[in-house]
Amino acid sequence: MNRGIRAIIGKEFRHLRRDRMGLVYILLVPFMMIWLYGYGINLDVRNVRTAVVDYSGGPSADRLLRTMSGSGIFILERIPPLAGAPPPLETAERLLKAGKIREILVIPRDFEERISAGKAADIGVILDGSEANSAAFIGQIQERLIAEFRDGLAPARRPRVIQTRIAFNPDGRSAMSIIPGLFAIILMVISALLTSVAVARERETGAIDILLLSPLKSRNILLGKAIPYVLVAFFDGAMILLLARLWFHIPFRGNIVILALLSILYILTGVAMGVLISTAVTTQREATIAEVLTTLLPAFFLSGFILPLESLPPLLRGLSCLVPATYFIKIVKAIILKGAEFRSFIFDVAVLAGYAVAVFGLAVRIFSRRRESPR
Amino acid sequence: MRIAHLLKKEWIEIIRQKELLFLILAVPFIEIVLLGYVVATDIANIPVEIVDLSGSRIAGQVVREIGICPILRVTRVNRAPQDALDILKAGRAKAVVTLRDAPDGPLRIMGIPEVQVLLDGTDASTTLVASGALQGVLARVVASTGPPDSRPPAVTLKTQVRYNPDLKAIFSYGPGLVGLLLTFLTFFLAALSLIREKDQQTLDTLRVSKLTPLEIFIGKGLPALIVGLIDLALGIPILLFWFRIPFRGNSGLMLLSAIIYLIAITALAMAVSALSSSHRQAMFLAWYVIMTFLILSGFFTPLESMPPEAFLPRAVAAVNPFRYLMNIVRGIMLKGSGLDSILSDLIALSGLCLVFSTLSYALFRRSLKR
Repeated sequence: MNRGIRAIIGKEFRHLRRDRMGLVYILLVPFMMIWLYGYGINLDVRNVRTAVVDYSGGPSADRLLRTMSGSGIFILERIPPLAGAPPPLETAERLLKAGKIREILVIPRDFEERISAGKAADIGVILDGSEANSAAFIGQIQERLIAEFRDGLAPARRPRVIQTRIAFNPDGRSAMSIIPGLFAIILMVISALLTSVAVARERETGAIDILLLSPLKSRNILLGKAIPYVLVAFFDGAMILLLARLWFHIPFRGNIVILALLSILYILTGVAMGVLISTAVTTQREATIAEVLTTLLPAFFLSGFILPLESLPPLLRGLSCLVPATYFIKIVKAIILKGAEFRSFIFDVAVLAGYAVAVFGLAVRIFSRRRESPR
Repeated sequence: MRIAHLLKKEWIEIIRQKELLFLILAVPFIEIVLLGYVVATDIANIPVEIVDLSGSRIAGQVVREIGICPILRVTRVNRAPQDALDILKAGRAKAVVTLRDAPDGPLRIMGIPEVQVLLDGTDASTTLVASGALQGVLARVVASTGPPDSRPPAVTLKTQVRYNPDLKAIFSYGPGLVGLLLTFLTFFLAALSLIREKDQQTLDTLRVSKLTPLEIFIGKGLPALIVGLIDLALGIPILLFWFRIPFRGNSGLMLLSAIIYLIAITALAMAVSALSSSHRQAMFLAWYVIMTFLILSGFFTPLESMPPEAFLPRAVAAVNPFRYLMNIVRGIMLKGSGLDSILSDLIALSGLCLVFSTLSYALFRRSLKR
């Protein structure tokens, strides 16, 4: 390697070493994030607090409620009519408005009578729509449970037609789909944020002038600044994967060496984006805020991490193609969870590689043009 | 007043940098609109591949019905046998439906094929939706072909959805999105402005000035808080007039809650920068705190779903001001909640605000003395 690059790398490592606490944070924070968020994100809806206003008071209603609470999805709480208290439905509505419960079930007075006579009966459901996605889900689940209750009254004579299996994640654990995404987002933020701030710092302290006056090529200055952060991010990535494997028991079905190599490629993309941002800002504070708005938020919302990409309108789909995490999340899931072969994600790898080269090239161009004619 | 001079200096530092001004005023505007569309999109077009080994009339009907369903999109119909797992591995589809003739029995007599659905479990948010949609489609086809179900309909759910009858996702995500952006900006601005003084050793200049520690504390925090309020004032109209989210409650109550929230997070940001001795430390701590706010707030997924043994995440969620803000804002905007409905959230938020401010000021004083 060129002596100039080596000197810059050495200098950057000294910066890292001098700020001990900062180094500890860099190495520890990603670890803490995965640990905390691996539990915090649950895409399945559970423990839905539901108030029950039961005007019938019969055994059929009890059986229906048992079917519901047996699913483990609802936490039912009866609101009994009390003398002196406001009517139960009014109490329930107040709880719904205050967000203490998500749903109210109203069982009418004639429920028992009609069910035991083999006639159709109604149940009133009031859902809190202010959390739209979980409300839609609760509605679906309830229809299924009601069908189950009905089969309990009069078994269906039809044989089952449909068999459903979930591949790669038979228990439907959220952690399985969340952790690969978090891995990608955290790597991107670390590599881009650290690099852009490291370059912005030189500018803020004025030390950049010394570097610019040196005989070093622009490309080498930027590479030297970036390479230490590739190593740091790679170390973080390895820690995250270790935690995923040992603590969250995520299976590793594919080739770990390929994953390691592709992680380096992805980190290089992140570092290149960091360098590009750093050419547009003058202080560390600006660099940080710019990174958050242009890298972190898109990586979160436009990468298919939680919100699926297929549904997006064309313009936003196009934007999601500009987010490197989109490709890397696909790659990580394919390798770790599916054990897929290399050719099934070769396109994503090619895009990432092209992206890294193009962005870094652009950053070097902007940087060296500014070097020739400083503002 | 002395503090006015410090505030003026802070303002100059913010508005002098054109790029920073662009970042804190224009970019959030663009992001709210863009990300608003992202979160508002209902799940649709989930790619489904079909392996039709039956070729019967009803199988054809199933394929057509899946094609009509807006949630699903048929990418390919294979007539030859295919390994469903391989299709998922190659990432060609999120679900594979295999139809084959049923073995001898009642299904065969009715001409109904056997259906196997294999779902890609690596993307939990689409798996559930795809599964529900496919079951719905198949139940419809079977019901239309088989003999009518002679059982009486036992129980019908008469469902009413309050506050958001069409279950529009933007109604529940939009307010959170604005809250998220102003949290990011206020937090980073406050945390990084103090650290900048430390970095450039100008904090010493402030320290030997006549300003009291409280004045420095407020002078450094207030500008970030004001930026947060400006972003709120820019963001709310987008929600109301662009995304047409109703505002049913009291705007004074909303402003009050927003100010309490902003004080809480500014105080926390000041604590972060008091605890840090370099930009890098402050940045990482701030990033950690904000990401945790976002993820443990119920913004993406309901908090109740967290497993009970996840003690630490539950404890963190209990002291997360963003969570209380989300409850309050959804309550005021969508439900038209008054003070009585949001009281417990508002008390929790105010309590956190008080604790964070006291703690932060104590840390700040300590870091000034050193």
